[in-house]
Amino acid sequence: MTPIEHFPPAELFTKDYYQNPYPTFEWLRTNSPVHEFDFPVGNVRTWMVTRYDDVRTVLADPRFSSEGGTWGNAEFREAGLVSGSGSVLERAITVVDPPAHTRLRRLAMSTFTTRRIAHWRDTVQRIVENTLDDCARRGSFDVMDDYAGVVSSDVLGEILGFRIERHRELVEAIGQAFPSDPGLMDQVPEGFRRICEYAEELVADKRREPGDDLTSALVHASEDGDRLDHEELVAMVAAMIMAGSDTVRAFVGNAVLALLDHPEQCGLMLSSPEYTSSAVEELLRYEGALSTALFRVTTEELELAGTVLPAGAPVIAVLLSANRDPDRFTAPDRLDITRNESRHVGFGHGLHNCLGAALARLEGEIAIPALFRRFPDLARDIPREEVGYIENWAMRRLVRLPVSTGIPVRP
Amino acid sequence: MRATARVDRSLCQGAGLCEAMGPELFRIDEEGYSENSQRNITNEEKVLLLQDIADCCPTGAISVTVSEQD
Ligand code: HEM
Ligand code: SF4
Repeated sequence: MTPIEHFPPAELFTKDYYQNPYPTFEWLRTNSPVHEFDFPVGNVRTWMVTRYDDVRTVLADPRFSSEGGTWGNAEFREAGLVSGSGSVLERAITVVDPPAHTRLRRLAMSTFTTRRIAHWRDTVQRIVENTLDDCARRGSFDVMDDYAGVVSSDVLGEILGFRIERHRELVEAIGQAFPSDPGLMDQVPEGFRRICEYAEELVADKRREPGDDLTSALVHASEDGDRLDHEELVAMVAAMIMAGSDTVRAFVGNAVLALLDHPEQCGLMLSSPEYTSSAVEELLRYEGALSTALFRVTTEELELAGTVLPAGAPVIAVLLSANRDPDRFTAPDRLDITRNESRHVGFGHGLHNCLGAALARLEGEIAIPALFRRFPDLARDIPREEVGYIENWAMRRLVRLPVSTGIPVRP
Repeated sequence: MRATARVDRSLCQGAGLCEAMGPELFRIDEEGYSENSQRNITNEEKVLLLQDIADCCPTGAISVTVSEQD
């Protein structure tokens, strides 16, 4: 008889966990699907939810609120876990419930028109081609910093209408807000502050001089009938900057690694372009950019999969785990770009599901195959075991992914 | 006032926002896509909710038609 395992293979939020959390998720799904533990910041009692069906419940059931500041218990609020607390981000779309959420969401969504998205396709294509030219000149480059990072922030900067000279600083601020190095965590608030400052400046610019960009469209939409006040508008632009840049960077990096690990799947994607969009969905399932959704808190005492949660309890829905749940996906650890199964939750689920999904998909569908088309012999420059992930509980991103094109560089 | 909503299943990505906002109006089926069963909605509050949901759907998969006659 094998002894019953009482502990997950790697303790939550440790080095081993970050490098490979999947055995821990498997253990949790089987042994403790609604798992109580102490969240490392402030040792706040928190519940982690790992099964597909339960993750969808947490994200869709209104008794799990996104408003930590309103419904979270005192412990949660005092530990400073309320996102955006004390800044305009307190009222950002990500952390409010209906009816406030419905208003913000309707307004933001109204700017993602079919015409605008079609126009973004050209933008993404041009930026991807320019970035690839740059990578070709280098011969060896880092997928994270020199490709995924450049594409994601250039696209977002252009779509939101940033002035070029501001752009580099923005990239820096984003780097500060989402550090790769755990030693730089104390700079995170400064990164957030700077992003809000740029958002503020951008809104002011576009009020004065509207252009053909998303910020101008948001300004315009907010002046039309159902008004957004100035703070709401700044919070919306800041939320887009924070939600729409590092996520795409992380996703493209994870996708490139998965395809380097599975050359036959990569070959299939390139030889059968009709699989491009299912490949992107599968890559989002296999290893999306966010490990978890943002905190939810219970508005009342309730039972989830046999576990009683008190009112005000912080809950973390683990997207990576839901997407590998064998009750929903056959052979979940296998990458199969022809898979046609349940919807993955890589973009979340329910009310707060990703607002920028259309743009994210567009970037993925263009940037991922283009890299392998341009460099058919692309290869890793470091041993597989040296490829590591940042130590962040919510973001699943590689630290770096050095590669070579295999094409000689002309002096 | 009478409203009918249609979900274009080729656009729907199963994000589940519609069901979360209006469980009495939308349901996600076994395959994970939205099937909306309600037609001829006359309750004014529900008609407004239906329009809100259509406006918030991330893929624009929901179209609502409203006719003024009863
Ligand atoms: C591959 C890239 C991306 C991934 C994996 C991703 C994932 C997600 C997820 C999981 C959520 C839900 C979080 C929760 O429920 O707590 C979300 C929400 C959101 N995303 Fe994305 N996202 C990506 C790209 C983008 C882009 C490009 C934009 C904007 C330009 C964007 C804007 C947003 C916004 C504004 C929300 C909040 C929506 C709401 O609260 O109603 N995302 N995203
Ligand atoms: S909100 Fe839109 S995309 Fe999401 S399930 Fe409903 S119809 Fe489909």
